[in-house]
Amino acid sequence: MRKQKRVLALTMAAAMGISLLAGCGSSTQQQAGAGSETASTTSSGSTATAESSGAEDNIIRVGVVCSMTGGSAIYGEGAQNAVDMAVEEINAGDSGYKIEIVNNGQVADDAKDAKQAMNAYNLLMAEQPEAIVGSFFSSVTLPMATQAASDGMLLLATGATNVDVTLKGDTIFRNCFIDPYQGKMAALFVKDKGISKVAVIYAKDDDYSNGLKDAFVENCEANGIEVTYTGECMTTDTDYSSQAAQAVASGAEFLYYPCFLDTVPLLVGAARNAGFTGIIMGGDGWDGADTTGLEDKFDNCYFTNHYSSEDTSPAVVNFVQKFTEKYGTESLNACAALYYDAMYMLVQAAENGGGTDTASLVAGMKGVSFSGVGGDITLDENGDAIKSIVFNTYVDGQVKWAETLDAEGKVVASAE
Amino acid sequence: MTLSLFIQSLINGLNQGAIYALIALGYTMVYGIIRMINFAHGDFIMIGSYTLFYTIPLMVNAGMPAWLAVVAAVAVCAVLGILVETFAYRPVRKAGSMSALITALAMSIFLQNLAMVLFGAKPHNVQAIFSLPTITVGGVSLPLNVLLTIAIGVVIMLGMQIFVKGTKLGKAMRAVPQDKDASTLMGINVNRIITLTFCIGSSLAAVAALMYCATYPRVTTDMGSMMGMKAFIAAVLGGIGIIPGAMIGGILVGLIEIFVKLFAPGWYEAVTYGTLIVILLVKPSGILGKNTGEKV
Repeated sequence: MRKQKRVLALTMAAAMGISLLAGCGSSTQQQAGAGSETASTTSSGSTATAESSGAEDNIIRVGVVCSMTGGSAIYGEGAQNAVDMAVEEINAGDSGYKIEIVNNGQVADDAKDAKQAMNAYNLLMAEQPEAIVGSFFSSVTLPMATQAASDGMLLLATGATNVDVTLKGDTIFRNCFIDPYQGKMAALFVKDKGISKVAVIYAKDDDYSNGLKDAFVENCEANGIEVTYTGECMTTDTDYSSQAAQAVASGAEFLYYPCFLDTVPLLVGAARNAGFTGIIMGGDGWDGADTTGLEDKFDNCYFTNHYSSEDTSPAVVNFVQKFTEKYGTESLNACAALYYDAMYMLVQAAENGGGTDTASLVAGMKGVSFSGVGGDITLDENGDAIKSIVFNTYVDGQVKWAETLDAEGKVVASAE
Repeated sequence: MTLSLFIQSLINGLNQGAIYALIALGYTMVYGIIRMINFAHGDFIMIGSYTLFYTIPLMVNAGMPAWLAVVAAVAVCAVLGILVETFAYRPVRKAGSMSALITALAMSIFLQNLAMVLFGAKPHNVQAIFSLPTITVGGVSLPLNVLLTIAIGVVIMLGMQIFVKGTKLGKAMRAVPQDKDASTLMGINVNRIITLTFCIGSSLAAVAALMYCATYPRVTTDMGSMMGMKAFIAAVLGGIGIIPGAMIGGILVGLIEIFVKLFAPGWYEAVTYGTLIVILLVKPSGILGKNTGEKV
C-alpha cells in the first residue's frame, strides 16, 4: 500500500515534469512557427534561450500612431491606407519577414495632441510591439520619443521634423528630413529668387512651427536677407487679418508660413485679401491643404515636401498608381508616403539586424541606406535621414511639382 | 505704426467684431428670455456652417446666388434649436440653473461628436458666398464684406429690439423671465414662448454662420467652441440679455483682439479674457447692464 503510493507519487511527478517540458516546447513552437525544431529542443534545456529565440518568428509586430481625428485627420487617413497597403504587399512578398500591426491593424489616434499621443503610445505598448511607427507631428512625437527612449522601444518617427526628436535616445529614428534643413532650403530658395525682404508668421504653440521659423530666420540672416516682420499666431486661430496687414505694411516681398494644412487656406486667403501679392511659402505641413474656392489665391505659393506624387522615379510611380487605384487621390499625401516607407524600412532593418526583436531592429536601423518613395535615405549618427527635398507650387489650386534638390542644395530633377 | 496700418487694423477689428456680435446676439437673446446660457450656441453655428457647406454647391448648380443657402441653414438650425430645447433643456428646466448649464455643455460636446460622425473629422473649405469687391485706398483694403456683416448685424439688432419691445409676442417673451407662474396666469404659454425663443436664437446662429463662412471660409467640427466662447465674452461684456449690448460687446472684443495682435501677438486672448474680468469687477452687469437689485 505504502509502496504503491510512492510509485504513484513518482509517476505523477514524472508526468508533471514531462508535461511541463512538453508545454514549454510546444508553446515555443507555436510562436516560432513551423520548421524551428532546433529552437524547441534547446528551449527544453534552457529557459533563457527559449524566451529570446521564442520571439524570433519573422513577424515584426508594429504599433502605428497618427492623427486620425481633428484638423489633420486627412494625414491619419493617408497613413492608415498606406500602412494597410504596405503590410499587404510585404506579407504577400518573399522578403521572409512579415509585419503584424498591433491594435487590430488600426492606427492609434494621437489627435495631434501630446496627451492623446501618450495614451496612444501606452495603448500600443500594452500589446508588446517590437517597433512603433509615428507620429507625423513633432509636438506629439517629442513626448513619445522621451518615453520610448526610456522604455528602450524602437520609435521610427515619420514626419516629425523637429531636431530634438532623435536626440531623445538611441532607439529613435526618422525617415524624414529635419527642420534646420528644411528652413535652410527655404532661405536658399528666397536667395535664388533675389528677394531681400521677408516676413514670417508662425504658430507659437507648436514645436514644428517654432523649429522651422528659427531655421529659416537664421539662414535668411546668414544670407543677408532682411526679416522685416515676425508674426505669431496660435494653431487654433482663424483670424489672420492683423498679421497679414502687418506683413504687408512691413514691405516684405516673401511670406513664410511654417504651419499645418488646416489653417493654410485661412492664412493664404487673409494675406491675399490684405493685398499681399508676393510668394507665400510653407513647409511639409502644407501638404494636403484644401484650396477649394481659393484657387486664384494659391497662385505664387510654394511648399517644401518629402516627396512629390509627380516625381518620375519608379518607386514613386508604383506607389502613386497602387494607392490611387485603391483609395483615390484624396489622402495621397506625403504622410502616406512616409508611413509606407516606414514599413519597408523596418523590414530592411530586420534583414540587416538579423531578427525581428527590438534590439535587432535597432541594430539594423543604425546607418541604414534605404531607397523608397521618399527618395534615397541614409540615416546619420543621430538617426536622422539625409535625403532630397521637393519644392512644390500650385497651378489652378492643384499642387504641381517644381523641382527636387539633393541634400547639398543641387537641383536633381525639375519640372521645367 | 503708420496711419494706413492703423486704419487697416480698425477695419479688420470691425470685421471680426461684427461676426462676434452676430453670434453674441444669439446668446443674449436666449439668456434674456429664459436666463439660461446656451453653451451649445457655438455648435448651432457649426451645424449651420456645415449646412451651408453642403447646400451652397447645390444653389450654385441650380443657378441661384450662393447666399440663398442661408434659407436651408436657417431651417436646419431652427429645427435643431427646437429639438434641443424640447428633448434636452425642457426636461431639466425645473431642476435649476446649474442642471441647465451642465446640460448645455453636454449638448455642446454631443453636437460636436455627432458632427464628427456625420461629416467626418476633416476640415472643409466653404465656397465663396459673396463676390463683393475689395476697395483699396492708399494701401488700405476695405472688403465690402465687412460693411455687409455690420449692416446685417445692425438690422438684426433693430429687428429684434422692435420685436421684443413692440409686439405682443415680444411682450410675452419679456414677461416669462420675470415670473413664469404669473405669465401662465396671464394666458401666456410659457413652453411655447421658450421654444420660440430657441427657434429665433438658432436661426440667428444660421445667419451668423453665413457671415462667418464668408470671412473665414472653413468648417471644422470644433469651430463652435472657441468662437462661442469669444461671443459669450462679448455678450457678457456688453451686458448679457441686452440686445444692443451684444453688438457693442462683439465689436469691442474684435477691436481689442486685432489691436493687441499689433503690439503683443501672443497676448491677445489673455487681454480679451482680462478685459472681461475687469468689466465684471467694475460693472458686473456689463457695459449696458442696469444694476437692478435682487428682489427680496
